[in-house]
Amino acid sequence: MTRVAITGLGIVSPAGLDADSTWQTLLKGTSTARRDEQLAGLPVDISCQVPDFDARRLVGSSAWRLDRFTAMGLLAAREALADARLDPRDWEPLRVGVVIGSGTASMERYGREFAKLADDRPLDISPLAIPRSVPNMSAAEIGLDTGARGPNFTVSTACASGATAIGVARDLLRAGTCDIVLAGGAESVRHPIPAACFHRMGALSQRTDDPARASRPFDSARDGFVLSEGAAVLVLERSDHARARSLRPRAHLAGYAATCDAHHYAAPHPQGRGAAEALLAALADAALEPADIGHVNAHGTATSLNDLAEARALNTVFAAPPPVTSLKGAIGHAIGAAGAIEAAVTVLTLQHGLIPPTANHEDTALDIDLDVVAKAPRTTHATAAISTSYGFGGQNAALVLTTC
Amino acid sequence: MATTLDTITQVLTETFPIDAADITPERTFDDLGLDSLALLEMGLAVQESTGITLNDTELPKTVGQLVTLLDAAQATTAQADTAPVGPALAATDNTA
Repeated sequence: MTRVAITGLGIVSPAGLDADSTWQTLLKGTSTARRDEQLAGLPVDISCQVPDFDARRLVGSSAWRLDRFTAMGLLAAREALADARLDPRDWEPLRVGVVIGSGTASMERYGREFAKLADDRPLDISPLAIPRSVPNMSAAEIGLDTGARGPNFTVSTACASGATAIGVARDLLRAGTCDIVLAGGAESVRHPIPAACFHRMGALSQRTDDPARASRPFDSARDGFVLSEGAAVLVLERSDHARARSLRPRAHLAGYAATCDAHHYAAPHPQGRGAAEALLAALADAALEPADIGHVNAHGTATSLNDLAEARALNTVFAAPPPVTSLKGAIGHAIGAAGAIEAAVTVLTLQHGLIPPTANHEDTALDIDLDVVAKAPRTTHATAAISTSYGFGGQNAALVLTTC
Repeated sequence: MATTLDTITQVLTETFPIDAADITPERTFDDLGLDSLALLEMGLAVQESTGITLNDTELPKTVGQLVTLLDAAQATTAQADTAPVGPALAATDNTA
């Protein structure tokens, strides 16, 4: 069977504008959440924000027509390509695909244009409102920018979108459709519409008086997630294709599985049934046993329901779950980008032998039986790790990453 | 006092990846890299900056033509607050 190498990665996150700065910030184990002027006046007015994201400066000539999530995805894709030492002039363009996950679309654009309708100004609607806002545009703009002309599409599985995109990209490689796929997620939900909606669902932390301590994955005092934004793109490549370029992969994507809870439209199955099934199926896909896994980069949203169900799923699969971390304590929940950022950071974890700590995790909840890495990075000799993502609608994805 | 060309230059450079040095009356918007949708977007940006609405179906082809249209609209506005002037203008009522 085709082995899938990860030969490059790029990250844009509240922890940094590239993979290295994101990694260094995550190792500090502090939160990036703060007050968000865009959310002023709302019951929850905090978020994690990508710092100094000046699309015009960072992305260049196409920035004028890109909404924020698309611009961040494009920046991450460029970093990933450079990291993989890929030059689009050298590749076979029809053999290069792009699969990007987005859980929503450009809320910022919809909000701006809907306001014009409400003001009875339909002719003031931007003629680019659709190409700027629709969720597929993040993948399309990466194709446009790089000349990748193979399969190009967006997947949407809510908060699992980024991980699902990586899994679907893997399928394109295994099926022999592509030699290379740029896969990841892009999202920005720092807007009053999602902020108000998630608040009404009871999903957001209400610790608005202390933003930096709001997102507390697996902690006894957790009370919801913090809105975030960002993007990450992995270069997935047929292992033989990477070898022919004499490129040493960062890691391999050894296994992937997706399941659906078929339980509730928003809440996870209370026992983490679908999550456990995804974990087991991904392990089987990788031909690994639970004991082979040395680390789990958890979904860990810091909502009451997710973290409990996730802990139960891990305890169903593992006799003793390996060390777990959740990046959402540090960078909040970037919805469709989260799974991609977490997969990329899991690759870095395997490479550096360091597990970033879960920011704000001080006291593991009594009903959560997990070894949560907190306070400081922990050394690991893991050669295999799992990155998990679970979305509203009960859509689950698990990625098994290995060092070789 | 800023000229109409100054205003257009400011709108174009703030909205699009265009250098001010490239903006001259002779240049077509096509030369400047604006496709048909971008040209409509430019019309909205001009409207936001000047309050003058361009007619979507008769947008000017060159920077100089846009200067002429905007100057004519401003002159008309100065004379009377009502009738639109020029084939590509519809005063500030974009429903015209």
